[in-house]
Amino acid sequence: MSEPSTGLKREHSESIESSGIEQVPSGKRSKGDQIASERIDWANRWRHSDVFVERGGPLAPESFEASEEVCCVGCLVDSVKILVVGAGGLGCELLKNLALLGFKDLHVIDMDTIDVSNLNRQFLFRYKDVGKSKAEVAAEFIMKRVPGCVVTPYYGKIQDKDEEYYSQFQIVICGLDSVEARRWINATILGLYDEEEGTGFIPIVDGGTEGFKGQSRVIVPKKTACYECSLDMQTKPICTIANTPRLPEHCIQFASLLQWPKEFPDKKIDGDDPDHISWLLDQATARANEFGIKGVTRTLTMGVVKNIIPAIASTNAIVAAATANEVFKIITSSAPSVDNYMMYTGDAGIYTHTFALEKNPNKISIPRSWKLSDLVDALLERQGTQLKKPSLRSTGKSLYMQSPKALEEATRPNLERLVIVVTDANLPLSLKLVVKFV
Amino acid sequence: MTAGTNGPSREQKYDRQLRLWQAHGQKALENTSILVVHANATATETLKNLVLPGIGSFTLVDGKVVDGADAGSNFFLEGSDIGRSRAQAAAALLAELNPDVRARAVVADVEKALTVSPELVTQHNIVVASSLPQHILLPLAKLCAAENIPLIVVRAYGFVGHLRIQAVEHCIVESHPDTINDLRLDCPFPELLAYANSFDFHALDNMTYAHIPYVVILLRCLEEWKSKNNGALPTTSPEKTAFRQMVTSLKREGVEDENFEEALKGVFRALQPTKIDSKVASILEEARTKPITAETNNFWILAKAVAEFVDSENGKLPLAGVVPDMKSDTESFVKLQTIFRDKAHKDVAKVHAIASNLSVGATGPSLEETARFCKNARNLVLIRTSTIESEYAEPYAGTMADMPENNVQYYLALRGVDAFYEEHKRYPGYHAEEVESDIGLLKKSCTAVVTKMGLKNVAVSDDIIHEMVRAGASELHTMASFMGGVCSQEAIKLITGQYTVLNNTFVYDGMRSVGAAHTF
Repeated sequence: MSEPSTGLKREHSESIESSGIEQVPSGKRSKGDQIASERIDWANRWRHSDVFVERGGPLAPESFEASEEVCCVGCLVDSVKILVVGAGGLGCELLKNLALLGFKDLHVIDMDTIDVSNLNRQFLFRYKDVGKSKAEVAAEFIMKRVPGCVVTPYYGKIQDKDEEYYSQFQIVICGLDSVEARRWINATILGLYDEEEGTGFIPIVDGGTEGFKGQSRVIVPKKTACYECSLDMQTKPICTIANTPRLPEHCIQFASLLQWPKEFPDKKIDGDDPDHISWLLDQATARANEFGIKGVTRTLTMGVVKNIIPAIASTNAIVAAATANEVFKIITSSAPSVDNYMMYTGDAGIYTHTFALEKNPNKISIPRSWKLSDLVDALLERQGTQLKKPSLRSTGKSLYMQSPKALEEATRPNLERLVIVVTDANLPLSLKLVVKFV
Repeated sequence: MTAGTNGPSREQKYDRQLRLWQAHGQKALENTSILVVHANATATETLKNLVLPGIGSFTLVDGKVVDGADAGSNFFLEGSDIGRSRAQAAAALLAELNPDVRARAVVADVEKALTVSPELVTQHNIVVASSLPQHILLPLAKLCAAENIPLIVVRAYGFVGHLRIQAVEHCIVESHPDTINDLRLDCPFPELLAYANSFDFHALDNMTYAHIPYVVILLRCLEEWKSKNNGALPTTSPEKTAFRQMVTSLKREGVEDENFEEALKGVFRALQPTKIDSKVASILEEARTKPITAETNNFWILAKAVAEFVDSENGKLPLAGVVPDMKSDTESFVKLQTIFRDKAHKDVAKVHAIASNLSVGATGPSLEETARFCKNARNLVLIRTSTIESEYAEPYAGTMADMPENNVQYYLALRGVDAFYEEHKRYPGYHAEEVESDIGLLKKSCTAVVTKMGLKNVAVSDDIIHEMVRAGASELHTMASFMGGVCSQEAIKLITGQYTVLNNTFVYDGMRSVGAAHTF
């Protein structure tokens, strides 16, 4: 596994030459080959992408210039470096789509290893690959099937990488299954953008699926709504689980959230460990019997413990294709891009809804140089809430109080302090501050 | 579903999809044999998404040899396949995806294969055809209609996607609605009413009071209301307001009232009279007069049995037997569930007995299948699409106003492209040097299509015609993959008989990512 660095490009073109991939015999050489003859291409290889780059069209954005001299999609996208976050159901599809569009420099991050239950949709993996790194196996498969495309895998956490790493990409695509990871990427990538310097401008294209439904969206720094704008949190009613269970899920949650930590305080549940699942199943069954609740099964236990979301190949294909399509349009300017969110619902007929998700007006982005007084001013300016004298408290401590007078005087020096909000060690760049109105 | 000799069990491998269509849906998938016409990227992407979840077998028919453009944009063709049979090369790489699936390639000119040996079609349960010229598509569609084999026509053309389903008759028992609502609060069955009456509200301590299931609260209030109003339910707006006040008045000072809030939220639903939805009623009506033969499928046998049940049960469908989660103590909730479940079981037994009597020859629907049917009886869906032949042959009587303007135009432009192909034996803009001249030619073709369809005040705009010529029959991989995904999702719905299939056309504008459905 190679560690991505800024000098990647040359290293990789060397590795292609020495890797002994056979050049497929072909008749006439394409224009692309004449200009970049070292590429492993055959006649008409990129025809399906090329027509949109070579030919102008009335619906292409004004910034688009048809480029017959540049001649082929390869030349246009060669210099583009794309990061795919996640090598799961969406990630496999995304890598394939990007490689077949003609992109040549792809990077992929995933901390997971391949599980048997991935095989019904993650088509770059086979049974023999179970237990191996998703990112590494996916990269290897793509490079073998689509010669000339270089995929650099990283088997590890997104949090392992720093700003310099993320800065090297022109665009970031997410195929993630967790809210936390999405928030981290969103905060990290949008945090790179320096509006004054004009640097670090990296659009995010994000996809997600559940069963027959999915969505694809484009997040443009400062321009569109971001992930935080559409976030709503859910909480579990612990008292129901503890006192008045009614559903089999409640019994399973009782076992996993309350009994397990009591029994094994130093061990985390591993949803892939059959012994762990069996233990939880036994506890949940006992509790269900005690209350006369029906329906606790192994499948349901795994579903609840691992928070399993049903996932199928077709939905992944739809969402990943819509997502990669946006990348192609953004990079080539050959067609307008979606504004900015598309939902696909396939369980009752086909229903799609494309709309411009608005920025959350209740969200205030806090730049790193802000003092507490800036935050107070921003709260005052905000439409809708009509605050006249905002006071701010953190848990157990007054930050700035408008009254009584003595407290105002005591807390006033805080107004000159910098605002640094750390909500979660896993979210180093997210400045999420929940302001409650009391 | 047993474990394979080498490899994971199907339960493990297919876990994430079994949660959507369960073991019986999976069995239907594994018993399916699909015919796929053309091994282009849209078709192989469709197949990928059907081979992975374990379709029984597929046959890929194509007479073309792989060219450079094919190998460049199709994940199931490699550079080294150039010059080989496209069907064989793609079938081999698709088969690698899943050892459970049987793969077959038929190397033959599609037009000849379909006319010379119609059994190629009739030995399959479902057909997918991608990018077929009109003169081959129409006879295929006619054959599929005559044989009652569902057909999906799918295409990715530049930034445009089009999909058409032709299904003579498709019956859906499990449409998987978000919620099944069948509480019968307006007409409680005796066991339910007896349970509600067993609560002595005044005698309950505060803790228990806060945990009375809202269903019980509403039933008691409705009984009281009926006793004061000659047995009538609240119907007018003032009556409903008064009824809500009656519910609110039962709240106890200082006691948590989540259950009463649930009751107030449930008033609207509770006052909707329990009746049979018109679409379901028409299915039952048709079933009543349908003669049962040895060929009649279980859907119609069960529909007829349910129709007889309804006649004997005062116009009520069999009870779904599902109670949604609600604020309650465990004992009351479990009791409530048991009451609903027991009544549902009794109804299922009655329907099963009728169905067994109706069945000719074979054993008829199993108890399990009958139970599924009864549980979903209020959500049955019957789809009979129009034929593709009628879409092409007749002046179009309807409007397409339900689709955004651009999607209508793209549909018409694709029809124009087909007409262009029939006339010139090539696709507009396929060769770079013909782009300019083809714009005028395609415009003529589009005008002819619009005229033939008899559409007034509709014309394909110059911009869209220009874009279609620009595309030059390109099957941009993302568009192929998108439409392949849509096509495989619809195929799975057709095969499993679960979830509702599209009726019958979907047009996707990949430039703006806007999709639209329309019924021809």
